[in-house]
Amino acid sequence: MARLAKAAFLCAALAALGASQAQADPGVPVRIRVLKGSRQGPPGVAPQLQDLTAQLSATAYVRWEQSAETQASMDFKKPASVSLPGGGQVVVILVETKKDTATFEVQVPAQRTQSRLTISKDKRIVHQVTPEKAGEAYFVSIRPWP
Amino acid sequence: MTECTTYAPMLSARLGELTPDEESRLQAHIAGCAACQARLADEQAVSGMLGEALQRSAARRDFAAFADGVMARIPASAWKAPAGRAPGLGAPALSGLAAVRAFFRHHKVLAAASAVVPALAALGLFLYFERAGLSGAVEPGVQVESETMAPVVLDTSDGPVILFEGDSEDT
Repeated sequence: MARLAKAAFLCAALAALGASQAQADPGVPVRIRVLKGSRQGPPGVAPQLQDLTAQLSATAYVRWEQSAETQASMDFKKPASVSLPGGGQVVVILVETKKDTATFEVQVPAQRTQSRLTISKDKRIVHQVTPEKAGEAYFVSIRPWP
Repeated sequence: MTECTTYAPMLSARLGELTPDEESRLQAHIAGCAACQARLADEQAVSGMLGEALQRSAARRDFAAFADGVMARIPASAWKAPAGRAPGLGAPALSGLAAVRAFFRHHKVLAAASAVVPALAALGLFLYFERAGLSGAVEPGVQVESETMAPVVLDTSDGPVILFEGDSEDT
């Protein structure tokens, strides 16, 4: 009987340890960049955006510049706020990670827009965050484990 | 006579008690000593009679009452023999399922614990893998909800591109 009680206690302790161990996992490094895309002007992609060329060239915007960049360790379900040059904000939340994937939530409060995106470890997200104005719009790119 | 004094005690020695040298010297003495031959014959006769008497005495004992007593102490349900086998001392005391049932009937707490402990262990493992994000792969996917924009998703080799189409602040 005492042995059983010990075994049950040990299992419960292991469960609690497993949960706390998972809770204590370090955050996921995420690189977030703010991009400005223009329809006018000489076509070109800023050198620091070369890794996004395949995605940027799929849009109608021909000129790309980087406005801001931040790289931080993101904790699960903790919002990270990114300021936009126009004064707006974008909220990025790391929802979960699996073996080879990461799921992010991108909220654009000014546009009342919310996206949930699951990408593979080696992919990036390019998300428009402002409406187009004078042929220009702002985007964020999100890359986990950069 | 002196030799007889030496070898007479050896006549009752059991197999292996004498060294090979003593054995050979004893045999040599017996071969030439009529008195020791007679002693040896007496010794063998007594030994044979004793063994026979013991065997006869054991055969006279009746163990039937003892066997009946043992069987009477075993509950009838506990020594049901499997089909095709007669019950008896050689039959298994309990069939497998009956033994398990009987055990858990008498150890209810143990039975409950034996169900709870693996469940707790499974819960612990599930929580660990679930929280650690190791429970399996998830297919990449995009869900966009907007109250003001018309989102368009472009799927490229490097990842998704989400555009707000058809809405321009100029227009």
